Amino acid sequence: MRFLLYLLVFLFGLSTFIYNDSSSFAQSGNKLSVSFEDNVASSYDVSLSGGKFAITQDYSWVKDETSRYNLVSYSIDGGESVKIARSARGSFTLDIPSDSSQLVFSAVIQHALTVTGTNDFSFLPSSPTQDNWFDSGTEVSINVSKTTEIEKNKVRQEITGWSLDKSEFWNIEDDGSTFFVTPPVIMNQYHLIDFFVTTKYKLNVVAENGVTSGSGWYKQGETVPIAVVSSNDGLILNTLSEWEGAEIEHDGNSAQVFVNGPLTVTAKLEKNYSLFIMIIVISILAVGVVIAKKFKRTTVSIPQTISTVNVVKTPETQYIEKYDQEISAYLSEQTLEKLNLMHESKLISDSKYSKIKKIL
Amino acid sequence: MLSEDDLFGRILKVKNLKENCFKYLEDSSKELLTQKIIFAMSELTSERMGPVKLSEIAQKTIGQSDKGKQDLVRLTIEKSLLKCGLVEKLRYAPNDVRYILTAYRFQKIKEIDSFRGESSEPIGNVFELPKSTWPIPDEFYLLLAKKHGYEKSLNKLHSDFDNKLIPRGKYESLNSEYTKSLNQIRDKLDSTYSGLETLVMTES
Repeated sequence: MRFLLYLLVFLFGLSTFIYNDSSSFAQSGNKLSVSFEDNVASSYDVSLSGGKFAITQDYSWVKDETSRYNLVSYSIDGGESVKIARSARGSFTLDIPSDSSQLVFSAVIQHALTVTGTNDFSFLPSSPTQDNWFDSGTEVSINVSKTTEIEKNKVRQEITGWSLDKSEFWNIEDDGSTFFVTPPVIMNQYHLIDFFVTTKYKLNVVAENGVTSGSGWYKQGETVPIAVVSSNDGLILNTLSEWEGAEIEHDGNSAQVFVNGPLTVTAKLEKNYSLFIMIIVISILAVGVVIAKKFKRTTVSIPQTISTVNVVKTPETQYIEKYDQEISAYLSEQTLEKLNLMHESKLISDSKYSKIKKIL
Repeated sequence: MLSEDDLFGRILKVKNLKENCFKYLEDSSKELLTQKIIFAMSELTSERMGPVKLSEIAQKTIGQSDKGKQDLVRLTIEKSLLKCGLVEKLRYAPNDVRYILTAYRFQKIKEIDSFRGESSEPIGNVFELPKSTWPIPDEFYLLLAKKHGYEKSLNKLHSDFDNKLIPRGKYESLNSEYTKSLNQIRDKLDSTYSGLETLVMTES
C-alpha cells in the first residue's frame, strides 16, 4: 500500500516536470506579426516554434462588388521587397525562418473588364493575372477579329460597332482590315465592352462563259443586284437564258436576288446565232443591190435639206452646299426631339434624361 | 449585381396579386409607408440598375436612414411586401442585404374555391409602376432616340434627292451610311432588348 502511495507521488512529480518543461519550450518560440501594406486586409499574429513555419495567403481577395486585391510582393523584417509570381486564384505559401518577427504583404487593386458579343478577342496588354482583371490605373485595349466564320465560305459574323459601359457606342468602319483595336480604356473601375455583331451570308454568282458581278457577303433580307457579261464566240453570241439557284427577278443580263441564307446562283447561257444570220442576210442584200445598180445605171438625186437645230440650254441643277452638315444637324435635331418626347411622356426619369442628353 | 436579363424578366412579367396584396398599389394606400417603399424601390433600382440597400430605401421614403428608420422599413417590407411576393430579399454577404421588386406590372386576381378545385380570375386592368422607374439602361433610350433620328433623316434624304437637291453620288453614300447605322440599331434593339420596345412605347 505504502509502495503504491510512493509510486503515485512519483508519477505526479514526473508529470509536473514534463508539463513545466514543454510550456517553457513553447514560451521560447518567436511571435510573427503578419500585416498588409495600406491595411488592405486584417493583420494577425502567429507563434513560431522551432525550425521553419509556413504562412499561406490567398492570391486574391474581395475588395467590393467590382474590385479585388491581388498579392504582388512581401518583405520579412523590413528587408527588401520580394516579388511574387502573380496569380488570380489559389494560395501563396511562404516558408518563414523561425527567428522572423514581421511579415508584410503588398497587394494592388484590380478591376474586371468584361467583353461581350464575341469570343474572338485578346487584351492588349494581357492581364497580369492571366484573366480579365487589370491593375487599377492601367490602360487596356481590346484586339478583336472583325469577322468570325461560322460556316466556311457560307456564314460569318461581322463586328459592326462597340459600346463602353453601355453608355456610348461607335461604329466600326469597314476599312478592309481584319482586326479592330479599341482605344485604351483606363481601368479605374469596372468596365463592360460590348461588341455589336451582324450575321452575313455568302452570295456566289457564277457563269460558265462570262464575267459576273454581285458576289460577296450580305446581310439577311438584303436585295442584291447581280449581273453577267457574257463572252462571245466570234459572231455567235452567248445570251442569258435563265438564272438558277434562287428566286431572282431579272431584266436582261442584270437581276436582283433576295438574300435569305448562303446562296450560289448560276447564269445559264445559250448560243445565239441571230447576229451571224443577220450579217449573212445583209451581205446577200448588198450584193443584190450592187448587181441591180449595174443593170439600171440610173442616178438618183437626193434633195438636200438644211435643218437648223435649236440647242436649248437646260438650266444647271443647283445642289445644296454642305449637305452633309445639314443632314447631320437634322439627325441630331430629330434624335433630341425623340428623347424630349420620351421625357415629356414620362418614359424616362429626369436623371436618365439629363445623362442621355449629355451623351447626345 | 443582377444581370440585365434578370431585370428585363421582371419588367416583362405580369405578377398576379390577391386583393389583400394588390391594395398596397391602389390609390387608397397612397399615404401608406408600404406604397411609398414600393415606389421608392422602383426608382432606386432604376438608378442603380440593381437591388437596393435598406438605408437607401429609408432615406428615400422617410428622409432619414438611422437604425430606427431602417428597422421600420425592414419590418414593413418583411411583414407585408415579402409575404405578398412583391419584393425579393437578396443576401450578398452577412452584413449586406438588398431588396428588389419581383415585377413592375401587376394583375389583381380573385381566388375562387369551388368543388372543381382552386382557380383565379383577373379583376380590372394590369397595373404598371411608372415606366420612368423601370430598370432599363440608358443605352436602350439612346438607341430608340437614334433610331427615330436615322429614320427621319433617311426620309429627308430620299425626298431631297427626289427634288434634285443633292447629286446622286452624295445621295448613294449617305443612304448607305445611314441605312447601315439604322440596321445596326435595329439589330441591337431586337437582340439585346427583345420585347422591351413594344412594351415601353405602348400606351398603358
